[in-house]
Amino acid sequence: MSIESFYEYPAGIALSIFLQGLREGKLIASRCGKCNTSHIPPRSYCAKCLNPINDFHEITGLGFVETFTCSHISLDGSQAQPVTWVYVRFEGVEGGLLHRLDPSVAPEKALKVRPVYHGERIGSILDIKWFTKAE
Amino acid sequence: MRRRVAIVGAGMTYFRSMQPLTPQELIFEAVRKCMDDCGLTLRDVEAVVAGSAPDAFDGYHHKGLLSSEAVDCLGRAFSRIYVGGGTGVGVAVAGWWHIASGVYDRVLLVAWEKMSHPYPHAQPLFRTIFDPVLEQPLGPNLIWIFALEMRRYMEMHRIGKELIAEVAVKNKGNALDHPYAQLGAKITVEDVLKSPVLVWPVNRLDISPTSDGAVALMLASGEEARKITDTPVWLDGVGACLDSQFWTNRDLGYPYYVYLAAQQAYRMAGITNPLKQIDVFEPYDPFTYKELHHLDALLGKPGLAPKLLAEGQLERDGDHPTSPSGGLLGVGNPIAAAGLMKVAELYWQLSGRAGRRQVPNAYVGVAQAWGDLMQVGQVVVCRV
Repeated sequence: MSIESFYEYPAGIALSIFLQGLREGKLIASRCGKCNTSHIPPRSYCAKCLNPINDFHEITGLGFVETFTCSHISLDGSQAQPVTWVYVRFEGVEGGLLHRLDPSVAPEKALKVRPVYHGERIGSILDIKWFTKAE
Repeated sequence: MRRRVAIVGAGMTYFRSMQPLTPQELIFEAVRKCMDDCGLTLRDVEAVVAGSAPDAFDGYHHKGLLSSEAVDCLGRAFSRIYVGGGTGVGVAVAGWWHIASGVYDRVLLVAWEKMSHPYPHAQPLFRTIFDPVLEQPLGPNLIWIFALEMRRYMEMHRIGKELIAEVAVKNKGNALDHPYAQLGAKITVEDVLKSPVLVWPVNRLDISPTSDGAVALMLASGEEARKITDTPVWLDGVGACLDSQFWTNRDLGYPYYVYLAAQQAYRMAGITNPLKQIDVFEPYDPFTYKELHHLDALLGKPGLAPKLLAEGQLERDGDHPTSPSGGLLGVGNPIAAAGLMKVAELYWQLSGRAGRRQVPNAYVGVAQAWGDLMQVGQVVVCRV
């Protein structure tokens, strides 16, 4: 038995703005008008204040590695070329992003990183090629 | 007025990687053993609380209903609990609500999993726990999230893989004494370190296996329990806690949601110093470091568990026996059934029925399960 079904997920209010930002080569965060907390990926409401959010702003893109891993297996569990994945946080912003690390960079805790974008962008998390070491 | 709740019987099937049995047949076997253990029949059961992981594993819609015949549901209340990997202990927590509330006196708990249904492996199904817009396009497999957390945990407490590997050695060794275990074995730290790296720093022997299996427990109100058995094990504290679906909002080094669930259960059971007052610990151990990560939260002291492990205190004959059953690493990990197995182990340990696994002087125990995107905490405290 197999289940044949495709799924389409709407990005919603906040993530649509985030994906539009990626298309323009920018990282967009949200800010709650009540508690002033910034968040990435952006939110359409504040989970602390239960307040709708209408304030979206670009952040510098300069982040730091919170933790990382190197996967030696593919999605189905079979052996694959090792790929390093980093969990990137941004100063003064809650949340963070999971993405690949530039293969020419050795991962380390607190490494300062910035996103590298593809030339042709469509509004997807994959518009970011990977994060690389920020000088 | 809250009523006291007791565990009066337990039963389980073998945990195996592929059992040529249907879910119904596995459930039947566990329920039958549980009923034999407490000397009741299904007619004595007033309500059933069932637990099983996502329907995707079976490719069968609303698979909770698979248990309906094996537990003879006609004429009784049935509910299915689902809180990810926390489901097994969550079933015991929900069973407690049924009786403590005064609504029912005799409640049957059953949890099962058939992870061998998806072909070739259950692994790709786990991808669906990740956010569909920002994370699934990256092609994540389940182990990533553990690897990110494990590295953060190792960094936070400056511990090496050699120490963490001791958890696999201990639990697989303990499982040699468990009659239903899948992966009891005598292994060394070197075996763990030399097993293939899957997602660094996670090696193959750091991970529990996929399994098929079922576990059943019988709960009764205080008054009923005394009629059924001379050796009830009291379910004196329950705690349940959920954190945000956004794992990127947490410090992965400490499962605060498990700490909060434990504190709820301790408050109810009158535990103020878990290290001194609890004799047996059954924290959730799907991965080696997870046992330490969770024990830290059950003790309310980040970084204490690795120290106790290094001193040998988590062994069955140590001061703080942890996973004397053999845990998920040794007994196996049929998701929902694995969590309820931990509660069953407390029942067997505290009522002196644990055979060769018996921990001396076991009066109070805690079991815990955890799940989903590092966000579910489910805890029960038992005592005799």
